[in-house]
Parts: sequence; C-alpha cells; structure tokens
Amino acid sequence: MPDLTQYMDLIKMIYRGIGVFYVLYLLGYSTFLFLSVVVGSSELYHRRRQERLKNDLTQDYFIPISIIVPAYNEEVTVEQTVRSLLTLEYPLYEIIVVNDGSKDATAQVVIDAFDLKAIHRPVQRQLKCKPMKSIYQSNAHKVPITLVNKQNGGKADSLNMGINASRYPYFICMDADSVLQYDSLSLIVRPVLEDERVVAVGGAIRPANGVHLEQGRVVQYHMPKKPLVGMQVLEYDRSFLASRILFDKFNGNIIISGAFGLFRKDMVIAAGGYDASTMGEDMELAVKLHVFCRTNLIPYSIRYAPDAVCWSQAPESLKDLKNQRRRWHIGLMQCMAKHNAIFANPRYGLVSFISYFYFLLYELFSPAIECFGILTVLMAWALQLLNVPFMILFFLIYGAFGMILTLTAFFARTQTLNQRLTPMDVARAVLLCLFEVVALRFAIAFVRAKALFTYWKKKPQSWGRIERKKMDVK
Amino acid sequence: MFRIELLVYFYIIICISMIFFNVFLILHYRRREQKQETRSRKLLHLVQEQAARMEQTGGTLPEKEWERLAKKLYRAEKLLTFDRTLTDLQQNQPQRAEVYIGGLLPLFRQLCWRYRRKEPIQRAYLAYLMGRYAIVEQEKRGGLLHQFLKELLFSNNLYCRENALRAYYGTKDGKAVLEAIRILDKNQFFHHGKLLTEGLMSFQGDHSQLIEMLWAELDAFRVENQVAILNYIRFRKGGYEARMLALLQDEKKDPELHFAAIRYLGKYPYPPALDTLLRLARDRDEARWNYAAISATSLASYPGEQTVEVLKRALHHRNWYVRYNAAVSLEAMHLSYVDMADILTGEDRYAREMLEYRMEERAQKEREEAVRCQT
Repeated sequence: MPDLTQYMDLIKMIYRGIGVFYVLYLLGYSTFLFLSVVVGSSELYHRRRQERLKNDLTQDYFIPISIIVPAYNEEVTVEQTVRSLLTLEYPLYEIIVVNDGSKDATAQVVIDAFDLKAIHRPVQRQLKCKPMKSIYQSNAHKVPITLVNKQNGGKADSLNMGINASRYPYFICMDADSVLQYDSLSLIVRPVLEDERVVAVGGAIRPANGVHLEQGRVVQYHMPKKPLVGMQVLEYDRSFLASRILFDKFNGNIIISGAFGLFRKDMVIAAGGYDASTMGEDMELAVKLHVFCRTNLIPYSIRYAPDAVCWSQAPESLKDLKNQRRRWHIGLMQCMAKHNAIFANPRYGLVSFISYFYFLLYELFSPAIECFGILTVLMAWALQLLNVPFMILFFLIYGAFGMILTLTAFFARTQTLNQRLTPMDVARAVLLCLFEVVALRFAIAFVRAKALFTYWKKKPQSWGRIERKKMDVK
Repeated sequence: MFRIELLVYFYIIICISMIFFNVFLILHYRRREQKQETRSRKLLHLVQEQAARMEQTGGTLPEKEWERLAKKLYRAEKLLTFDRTLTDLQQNQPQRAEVYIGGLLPLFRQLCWRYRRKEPIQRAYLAYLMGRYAIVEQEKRGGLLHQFLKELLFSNNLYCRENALRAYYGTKDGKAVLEAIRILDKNQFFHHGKLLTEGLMSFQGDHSQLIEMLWAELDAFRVENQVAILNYIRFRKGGYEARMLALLQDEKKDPELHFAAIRYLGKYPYPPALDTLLRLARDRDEARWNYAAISATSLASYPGEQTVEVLKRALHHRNWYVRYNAAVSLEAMHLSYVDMADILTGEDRYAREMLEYRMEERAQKEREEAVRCQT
C-alpha cells in the first residue's frame, strides 16, 4: 500500500477543485431547472388566460400542410394513426404515409383500410433518398391520402421522401404510433401567422398511456397505472415541456421532436433536409436550420407550441425505454459533434452560449460527469475526506428540490390544460416523482453513460423500436 | 463562504409556492364555473331590469347607470360574465337583447376609458366584445371607441390588432375598415396577409364599395398588404378583370402583385388577358419560372387550341412546377388520350409521366365519384 500522507495536500487541493466544479455544475443545473419550471408554468398560465379572453385566431385562415407519417413495421398502429389524422379540425391538409420497406403488412393495411389505388405519380427529387418502389393514393376521403412504398433507408430517409412527395409549403413530421389532438394543426400553425420569420415549430409530446381519446379529444385522463410510464409522464412535464418553453423565449430551441413538428418546406430543402446518417435526425434538422439561417443571414425563428399536442406511446418496458434513451443519446452525440462549430461561437448568440452549452454539459456529458462524481465520492470516503452528514443532507435537499420542480411542472400542465385529476392521480404523481428522482433518473443516467462510452461500437442506422400497442382511441 | 444549500432552499420555497398556486388555481377553476353562474344570475337580473326600462324609454338609460355598470365590469373576468349574460339574454329574449345591445354604446365608452391603460390581453378582449356585439357601429367615426381601436391597431400585440380589426369587420362601415387598414399598414409590425384576407372576407357591409375604396388606395399600401387585398378581391367577386390585366401589364409593379393578378384572371376568365397569359406561360427564362407556372394554372380557364398548344409546350419546361401546372390545366380541360397522343407517345419522359399521372388521377377520381354516388 503506497503512503498517501505525503500527497495529502495535493489530493485535498484536487478535491477542492473538484468540489468547486460540482458546486458550480449543480448550481447551474438547479438554476436552469428552476427557471424552466417557473417560466414554463407562467407561460402555460398566460396562454390559458389568453384563450379565455379570446386572444386567439379563430377565423377560417389556413396554411396548407402536408402531414408525413414515416412507417416501418407499423401494421398494428398505422391504420389508427391515419384514421385519427382524418378527424383533425383543419381545412386544408394531406396525409402522406411513407412505408420504409417494412417487413410486415404495413403497406397492405393502409391500402385496404383506405381503399388506395396504385398510380404513376412523378415525384420531384429535391432531397436525396432511397428509390421509390410504388405509390398509391385516394381522394375519396376528407383529405387526399398518399402511400409511398420505398426501399428501406431509415426514418430520416423516409422523411426526405415524404418531403419530395408533398404538395404543400409546410409539412409536419410525425410518428406512426402517435395521435394528434383535434386542434393540433390550428395551434401549431399559429406561430407562423404570428411571425413571418418562423421556419419551424415544435409541438408538445405527451405520453398517451392512460389517456382515452375520442375523435382526437381527450375524454378521460389519468396517471398511467404502470409506474415506469407514470414516471415518464412526470419527466416529460419537467424536462421537455418546461425547458422548451424557456428555450423558446430566446429562439434557442435546438430540438423539435420527430413525433410532432411543423417545418417550412423550402427552408428545409435549402438546408439539405434530414440527415440519414444520424440517429437523432429530428434534433439534427433543428440545429441545421439554426446554422443555415445564421450562416446565410436569414432572419428566422424556431418556435415551440406547448398547446399543440401529439399523444405518443411511451415505452412500457425497461428494455424499450433503455433502447429509446440510448438512441436519443447517440443522436444527441452525433448532432453535437457534427455541429461543433456552434460551440462558444458568438455568431450563434444565445443558441451557442445557452442552448448548445446546456445540451453539451447537462445532457451529453452529464452521464460521464455523474459517474466521475460517484467515483470521487467513493474515493473521498475511502480517504476519509468526506463530510457524510453534509453529503446526505445535500442529496436530500437536492432530491426534494427535484421532486418539487417535477410536481410544479405537472400541476401547471394539468391545470392549464384543464385535465381533471382524481385524488388517486395526485397521490400517484407524488409517489412516482419520488421514484423518478431516486430510481428512474439513475437508471437513465446509466443507460446514457453506456451509450456515451460504447458509441464507437457503431451499429447500422435503424428505426427505434418499442413494442407497439393499439392506443385507446375512437 | 457561500452556502449553496441556501440557494437551493430558496428555490424550494419558490417552487412550493408555485405548487400551492397551481393547486389553488385547480380548486379555483373548479369553483369558478359555479361562481360565474351566480354572478351571471345577478348580472342577468340587473341587465333584464335595465333592458325592460330601455324598452320603455326608447333604448336609453341615464349616463350614471352605465357608469355604475362600468365600475362593476372593471376586470376582464367580470367582462366575461357580462358576455355570458348577454349571450343568455340573446338566446332567451332575442328582442329585448336587441334593444339592450343597441343601447350599449355609453357603457362601452366608459369601458374604453377604464380599459385603455390595462394590459394588452384585456384590451384585446374588450375589442373582441365590441366586434361580437357590433358596438362600433353605434358610434360615429372619430369617437372614443374608434380611438381605442386605433390605438390597438398600433399595438405590437397581434391579438390587439386582430381583435380591433374584427371589431371593424363586424360593422357595415367600409370607410372605417379602410381607415383601419391604413393604420395597420403604417404600423411596421408583421400582420399575416392571410389574416387580413380572411378578415376582409368577413366584412358585414357592402363589399363592392369596400373593394372600390381599397382599389383607389392600393398603391399606397405595402406590397404584402396589397397582395392580401388582391387575394380578398379574388375570393370575393369578379368584375375587376380589366384592372387586374392592367396591373399585370404594368412592369413596374412588384412580381407578387403580378402573381395575384394572374390568379385572379384564372378564376375569372377574361378573353383580352389570354395573349398576356400565353406569353407568360411560353416564357423560358429560368428566373421567371413562377410567371410561367402560375400562368399555366390560370390558362385552365381559357380552353382553346392556342392554349392547349402552349400548355403542351410548357410540359417540356425545365421547371418541375411549370410542367406540373401545365399537366393539371390540360387535364382540367378534359382532353382525350387522342388529343394528347403527341405527348403520351413522345420522347420527353418527364412530360409524358406528368401527363399520364394527371390523366390517371382523373380516371381515379371519376371512379371514386361513381362509387360515392352508388353508395
């Protein structure tokens, strides 16, 4: 055993440095979470008030929209998704399902359910994508439905094909296992009517588990019974809803979820479309739009519409959740690496110094930082440098802080969206937020750490799969 | 030394307050309906009593009474209740409601005075009510209500501007609408052309008169507003073909105005415009592809040998949109396969595919229509 006493001063100095770093790190994170929840809750409250006091755009205005639904092995859910799209209350849109060489009966399900007929339709290849095999369409429904069958190329490749086949100047990308709320198109298009510079708008993604929808309307809402899903509901409220509202305040959103986003087609085409080589094609496109507009000095805005809701299935098993989060983290890593020019670059303003920096430090590197933190705590304990009571107090305070923030975001969302909760729902939320802080967060941190350290073992680009179930939709 | 836990405690206190605030709001919203019902009943009683007296006095009440009511409606929440009360009255006693609403001008003057310094969201709501109950019409231009609305039109808040415009659209006063658009045009804040077009469509007065007034001042507006006005005219009515053609032939005008005129001439065919449209559709200049594309669409309304010939040539255009629009127009003319044989058997694959697709689609639509008729 080496004699450490001669190095003790040095070790203490190093620990002091590490301590300062972690204090600053946690301070930054707490402040960010705090600001997002405060700003997010206030914004939701403000919007509810606006709606009540008729500060809205209720005329029959319309901006034509193409809804692109990329699908791979979605035979279980695709019909339900398209049917739900037909119930949307919006005057002018089209539905384009892109079947990415599914191995199951996805295409046949769509053809049979909506009586599509094969047609020789020329498609303008504005964006690169794998070749089209066949195209089907029908005009017999409320809006035109098109099915494009193409060679397998991944989600981004399918979206590029969908953009090529679309007819309208704005498009929406969404997942084949999601359902849009009846008013979601009118609400997601609103920022475009408010500001001519808007090139993209992100919609709000909510876990559909525990929700009963009829004609795109929520008729019953409960906290999901499965704890894992319930914890994700809380996590969505805190991390996604609140933080995106905060980023929206300074045009700093660098993520638009692939499950629901609106884009100006010409701008996306000019920027090069979706990148089929990354796993996080949704984030990559949003970042690319920032880069493209700033490089070409185009005035632009990327907005978030928290009231435009898309209900999506959250993973119900740990395995699915693990795969989902691993994919997200690798996508994040690829995107951050590809657009590293944004880092500390004054040309990108707050996008660089807040958004990029936040995602780099508190999302991308957080697993490594957390692992290193645990390691140093263990070493400090071994070296008897640890103030154990203070450490326990600190973790308790931090845990309680996380729980309170989560509950604040949860209540703000439910009350502003008029979702009535039963006492059981409230009790479940309180209990689950405790579990979320002490269990789910660490499990996810572990998955992300693994993704970070095993990134170099590259896997071929593939569709993220979770076990598909029919949603509670009529 | 700085104690980080103190900051975290501070955050916790704020968050706990926010949870309480949210829980309070949830309970408040649940009880609000009930409260509003009670308030509405009380207010309905007062309104009914006032309305009954107004029926006797020929639609007027002493100014003091309106002042008292305006004091009660000092908050937007109270205005919400008032709105609900008026809706109830309209549903249950339409005649009485008509008399009452017809005499509300003094009340709204009071409200304008009280609300002019309030936050935009509340001012926008007052403007909404003015539009909903057509109050603006009761006042001559230049009055207090008009001043209030004009201030809103200068606002940087979209909803203030939009609700003020809606209040004007709800009147039969074209001059007031024109004045509102002048103000909006001077205001440099972005107001989407679609909102302006849709809003003008909802105008309750004489559209011909309004269009004449707008046309007389068209050049004075910003290009984006000019386009919105031209689109409104296109959606609303024909009869402006000669002027649209003159606008199209004026090369000094902005291309966006030319496009709007071409679309108009497509919706309302005007034989003297044919030569100009054919010339534009023949244009091979890549930089002017949008002229060719939009003209190709409009030519669908000008069937004839010359048009077919130009559209067939447009099918060979390098631009995808020109080819697409030409195919749509040819298909809309219901030409047979024989008429299109030269394209369908020709060597230009792009032209052939585009036309085949349109014809296939037409056949598909006819089949779908037949099925619909059978069922």
